[in-house]
Amino acid sequence: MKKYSILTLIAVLGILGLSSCEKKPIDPPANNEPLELTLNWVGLINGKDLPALGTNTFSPKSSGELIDITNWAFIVSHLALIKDDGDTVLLGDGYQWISPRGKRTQFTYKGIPSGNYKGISFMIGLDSAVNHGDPNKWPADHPLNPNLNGMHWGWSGGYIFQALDGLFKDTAAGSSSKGFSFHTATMPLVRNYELPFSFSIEKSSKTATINMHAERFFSFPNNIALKTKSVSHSEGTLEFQLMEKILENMQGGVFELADVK
Amino acid sequence: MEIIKKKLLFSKLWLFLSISLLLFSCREEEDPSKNNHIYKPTAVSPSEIFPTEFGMPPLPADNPFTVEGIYLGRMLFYDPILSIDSSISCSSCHIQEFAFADPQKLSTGVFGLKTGRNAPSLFNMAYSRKFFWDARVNTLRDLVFEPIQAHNEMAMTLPLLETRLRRNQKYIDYFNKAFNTEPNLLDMSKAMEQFLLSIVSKDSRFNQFFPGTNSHLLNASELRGAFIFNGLVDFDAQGKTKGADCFHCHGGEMAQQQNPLMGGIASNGLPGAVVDKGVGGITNRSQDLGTFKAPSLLNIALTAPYMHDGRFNTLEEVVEHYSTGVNYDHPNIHPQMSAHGGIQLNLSQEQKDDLLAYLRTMTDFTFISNPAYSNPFK
Repeated sequence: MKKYSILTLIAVLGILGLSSCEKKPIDPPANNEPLELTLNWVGLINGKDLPALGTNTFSPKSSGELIDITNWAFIVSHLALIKDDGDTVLLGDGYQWISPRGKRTQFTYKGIPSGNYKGISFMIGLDSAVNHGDPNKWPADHPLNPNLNGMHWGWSGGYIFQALDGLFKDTAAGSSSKGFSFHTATMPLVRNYELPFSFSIEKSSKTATINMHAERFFSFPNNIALKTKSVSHSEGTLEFQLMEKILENMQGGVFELADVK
Repeated sequence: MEIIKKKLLFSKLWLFLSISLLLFSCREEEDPSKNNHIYKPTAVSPSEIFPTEFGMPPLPADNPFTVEGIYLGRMLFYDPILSIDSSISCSSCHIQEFAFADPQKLSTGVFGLKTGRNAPSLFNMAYSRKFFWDARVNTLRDLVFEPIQAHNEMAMTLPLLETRLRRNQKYIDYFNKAFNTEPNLLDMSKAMEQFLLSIVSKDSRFNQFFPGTNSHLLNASELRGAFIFNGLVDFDAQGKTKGADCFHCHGGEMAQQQNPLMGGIASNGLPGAVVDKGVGGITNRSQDLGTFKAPSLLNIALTAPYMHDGRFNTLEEVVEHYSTGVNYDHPNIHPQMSAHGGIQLNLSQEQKDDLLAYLRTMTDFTFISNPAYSNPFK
């Protein structure tokens, strides 16, 4: 009897010992692999790929002007999929910093619920509490970290929601170029976007392509002539009004959910 | 009875073997510090180094801070053993009292050779992702090998350097303490990376003022200068601008734009032909010709002469450049600078004085005398 007790004790100790040496518990195989959605933001100008075009390449816009976009970046919040029933599924924590020239254009989100969707929504800008909160609280790799995105005014001014900088030539006046700079900021200039497109995510992960038509900043419905005014930092009445016109153009068709497959 | 004793002995033997086997199978998890032959360096939390008001920078995951690693890096920074003729160290051209910049226009390397550019200041580098004036290097670990090997700086060969380190008892001891290794080049670069990352400047009056709630810290002229520095270029009917828009390329708590596209790399319209290609010399792209990394303006009053080529001897000359001397026809001038129409700012004398007064609030006297960054051999 004693012999069996000792042998049992040895066996139990052995099993416990071996199990305690396991470095990582092995998760049971999942029945449903989490679905992923990759969001691809494609910067275009007159249908051509903006990053591939490189800078120092001028493209025509309305008003007979030529433009060279050297920097285009914006901060997105509340980024979400819109379900058929109108509910939304937040992508990550809903924040993203997108920069076609900085090659920050492709992001993959995990754990997407299967189902039918009717579009993607987002806001360019931030809620007031986030915009005016402590910018240094964000981790080093978070899109709202100012050391990463360089899009915080400093002080208590909050974030630049969108920066669009570049050079333009007024072809009528000769070939020398001048700079343009449009920096969107302050709460009244936050704008929401909803991009309709019916798609379903069921058995496999998907990639959604959002085309971004840069030339439309300046063209529809408002014609923005850079030779008249080529700068707005959203400060003062004139700059604020100009920025409102540009944002109206943006809502008029800069963003297009072109494909989900 | 004898049989029972034997069986008990046999069982005890099994128990002993089982436990031995169990301990043997867990050997991988032994604490290395219990081995007397292995030195365990003292970890330093990044929160002890970086101020909360700067936020936490991205740090290399494979090179955690240790007391011994930082100290080894500091020794190497100050040791002329790194140069071919043992005549100069990193600190010969990066001098603490000048915010680790060099008061010479061009620094002097071994054999009296001159460098090609003005030596930049060194601090808050943990927040940067591009190094050197032409932004050619992405990590401090890689950076250290450039001046060590440059023919007009330290002119050292790496095999010789490793040999020297391996023959030096103090480095044999300190590499063991910091990395549990013999001296080697990879750990040398990691130690120097730790030291360089740990250099922080955060105590200037500007930094105390920065949240904007401590305006009493600045006098009237400095405060006016703050508004000019952070004000946008906007000409009134008399042609006078209220701001000089310095902050787009030199903004934030560290007075530096880290995003290359937002002004972190730019041409600031220096007059004359583009002699130094700058970033364009690395990328071979025409749009980068004559562009350079925009430096932090912290400690700017200490880091004369100015610009990549040291062309301006004083801060007054720098301010005058931005007031009346910008070459708006520079092919790659930053759009932000020419977006107001390419008109010289023509700041008044009072505006220039105020701006200079504000720039001088950015000097961090604690930093330049901080013993943690000083020569460990003195």
